[in-house]
Amino acid sequence: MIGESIRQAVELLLTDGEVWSIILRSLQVSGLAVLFGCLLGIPLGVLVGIHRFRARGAVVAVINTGMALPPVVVGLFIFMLLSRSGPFGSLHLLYTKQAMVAAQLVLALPLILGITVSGIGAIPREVLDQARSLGASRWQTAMAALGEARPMLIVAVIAGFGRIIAEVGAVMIVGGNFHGDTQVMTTAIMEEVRKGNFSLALALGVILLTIAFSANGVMARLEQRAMAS
Amino acid sequence: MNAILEVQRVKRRYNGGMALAVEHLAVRRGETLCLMGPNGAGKSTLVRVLNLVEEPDEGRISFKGSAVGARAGNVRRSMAGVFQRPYLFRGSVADNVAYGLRLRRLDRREVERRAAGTMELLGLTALADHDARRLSGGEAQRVALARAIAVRPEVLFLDEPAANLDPHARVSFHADLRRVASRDDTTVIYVTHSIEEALATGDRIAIMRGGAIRQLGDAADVFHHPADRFCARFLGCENLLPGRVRESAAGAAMVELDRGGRLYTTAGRQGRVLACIRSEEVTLHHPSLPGELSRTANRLAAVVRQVVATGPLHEVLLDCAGFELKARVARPVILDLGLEPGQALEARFDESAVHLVADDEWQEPEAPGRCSRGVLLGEAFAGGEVRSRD
Amino acid sequence: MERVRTGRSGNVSLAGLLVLLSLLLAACGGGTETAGVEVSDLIVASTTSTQDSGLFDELLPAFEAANPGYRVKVNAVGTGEALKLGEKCDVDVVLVHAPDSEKKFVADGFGSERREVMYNDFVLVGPVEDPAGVAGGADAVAAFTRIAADQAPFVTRGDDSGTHKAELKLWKKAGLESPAGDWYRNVGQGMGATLTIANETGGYVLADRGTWLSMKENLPGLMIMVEGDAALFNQYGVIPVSPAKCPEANSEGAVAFMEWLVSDEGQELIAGYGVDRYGQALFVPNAAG
Repeated sequence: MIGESIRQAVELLLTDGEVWSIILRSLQVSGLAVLFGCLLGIPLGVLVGIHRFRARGAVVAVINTGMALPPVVVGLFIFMLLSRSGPFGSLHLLYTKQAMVAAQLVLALPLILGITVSGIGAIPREVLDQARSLGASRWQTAMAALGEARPMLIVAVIAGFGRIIAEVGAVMIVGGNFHGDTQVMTTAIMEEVRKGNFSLALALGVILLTIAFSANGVMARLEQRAMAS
Repeated sequence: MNAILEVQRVKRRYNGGMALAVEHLAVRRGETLCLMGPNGAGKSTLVRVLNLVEEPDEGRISFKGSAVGARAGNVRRSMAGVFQRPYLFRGSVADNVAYGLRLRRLDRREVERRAAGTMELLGLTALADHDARRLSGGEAQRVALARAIAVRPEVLFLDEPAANLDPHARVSFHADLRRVASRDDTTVIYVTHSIEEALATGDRIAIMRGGAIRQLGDAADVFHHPADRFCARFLGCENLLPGRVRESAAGAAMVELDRGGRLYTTAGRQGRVLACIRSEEVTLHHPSLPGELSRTANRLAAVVRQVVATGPLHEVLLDCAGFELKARVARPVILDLGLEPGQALEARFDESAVHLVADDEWQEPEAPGRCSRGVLLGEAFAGGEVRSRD
Repeated sequence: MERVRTGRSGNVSLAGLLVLLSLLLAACGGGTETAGVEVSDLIVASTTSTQDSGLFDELLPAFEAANPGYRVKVNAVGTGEALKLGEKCDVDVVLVHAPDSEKKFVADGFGSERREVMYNDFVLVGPVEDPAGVAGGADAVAAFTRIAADQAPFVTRGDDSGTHKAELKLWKKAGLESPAGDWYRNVGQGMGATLTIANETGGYVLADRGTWLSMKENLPGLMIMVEGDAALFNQYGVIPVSPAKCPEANSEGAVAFMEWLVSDEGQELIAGYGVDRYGQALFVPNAAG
């Protein structure tokens, strides 16, 4: 059955242009969400990771809880915000890729943030003191921390991307699975399952898995290089 | 005002304990100041405070005469440190050496030129492209040193940089240090456990204990004239003999030891004293014949109790009619005298070798536990309250 | 003392953990006994629209009360998936609304027999602004033609469900073999989600009356455009999976479920469902004896 699915997956990729556009859309949405997640999460994570402030424990607990946010709940929350009757209804963002990116950003952010915090926290204080001793400013010390935590940052990106590329609950609710517009791999799989097209669903699943695997592979290579350098 | 760095009444507490309480310290421009003291004496904390890596709870720090406050960031640019562990950053050896230069936003060609020059100086050129995290301990510490001196700091901090190196690496690292320290007019603040190292590189030595500076002075002076029993012990003076000054004149005194015997010294002091005689200053001879002429003032009849081979020098324990004296002599002396336990001979040392410190009630740092336990037990017996604890 | 106490509390918490674990296991185990009767699971594959209408919440307790030997589990999916699950013997009985597919399912030997249970009707729902101007009509095909001509936004479930199939039939009658274009949004989701999307985006949508009535309150942007046309008739059928193809299936239970649905008791319950809440019945029972 798996062999058949792989064969069908290859066939889909060779013959069905629609599948390609769905794949690209998945990569685009989840890629953008991870990118924004990093732009937000890494600086914030460095901030929380370096400083020892009183509410730090509580902040870390909130972040760690955020890692377990159910996608459907996040989807629902964004849906209610963007709905016509919601506070941001006038923006007409519901059922758009922007809305999907926003929902996935909410899902990826705690993961990126949390891993960054623990990565930065794991750097011996003396290493950062050494940077300061050599004349590093606050900003330069933070940059040194980033440099030292590089392998963990890559783990953060992998984990964040892995979580949202495979997520269906949030994108289904806020994206609507509009064919040719907001349909992504996971919602397509969900739809085919509902239609009873199990083998097609499985073939799409094989493709999704391959994407996740290659993304991990690329990041693992980067991680190796980061570890080596 | 030739002080480059000056601290006044700085205090730093950790978890309620006082880690640093320095009343005043002025670091002279261009000098090498060695900080010495037992573990926990506050040496590293003082370095961190001077390096502006750590803020003191109280007190004032001045750099070139003006107080360091919000300018700490700029002032820190004039400094660099090498610590016990190298803490190299991810990247190549060259990246690490260039780190401080990049922080100072020098242009790229200048960074490369100076990094290359520094690596050349410390023999790191061949390692330039190596992964900084895969070096031996000695190489890594050499990179750390290069990283610090590449920025040509006005003040260089060295916090036991050789402590974790094996003996061979330590020797070559010390050689590197001396070469670097004598270059330019860099001010060096150097924490070390090695007296030899401090004497060889230090202009001045500060001895710390319990967060405070107990003695500060020119290196040779501190070495030969420790301020008190603690400093004497710390600097490796092994014979500390309690006594009282009986006669003293300008540049000469006679000490009557509590356990019997007299010592002649050039040191001037009154009242109860501890006579400090370094064991290397004691020489051993066949008992002198009556009427033999010797310029040595202190000649004590002694009996050999024990001879221990402790490395380059042999340790000889002597009974000098009531008190014990330790001497360290080279092997030829042992062979020449045919030393063995029970043998009678004469121990000599010069007047200038006898240094006097006040016999304060300072507790022996080596065995405080034994001492206090004795007191406790004594009290317990006196109160008649010693019972089984159940 | 301290140490003894610590040890005991450790044992207590270990015992507590074991009790908890066994409770969890017991809760998971199927085929347990209730009041001395052997209870077996009966798995029904049905459609999301049936589930969303709330009908099962009314029917199942009554069925289980009348047949204490069965505990019903509903797998609410699209009609396509429901029939597929039946083909794969993953369910015991299917209750769906796509007569042609159902008949083929029985003809292919996957189902033992098909009985008609009830019908409801579809309604064409649209935005209150009604950009295509189809409100109040009684001719579904005419309305569909109009919508297509105006390229007014239309949201389709596109999930091979009974509703989707009924919709495609109407497009065909309106002269469109397969509608396509920006205005025709295929969302590939269930009835509830599709209605929500239509509400949010201001689109027309074909819905079953049951789901529409049950969700109407939450869909302020939508209203009924066309209803009562014979072309909007939606027949439900119940089919036990074939015991010949699926010997493992709970065939007895499946037949009992089917018989109960077409019995007087079942039919009466269906006829009364929704009257108290919506002022009208959602389904019309029409079992042929």
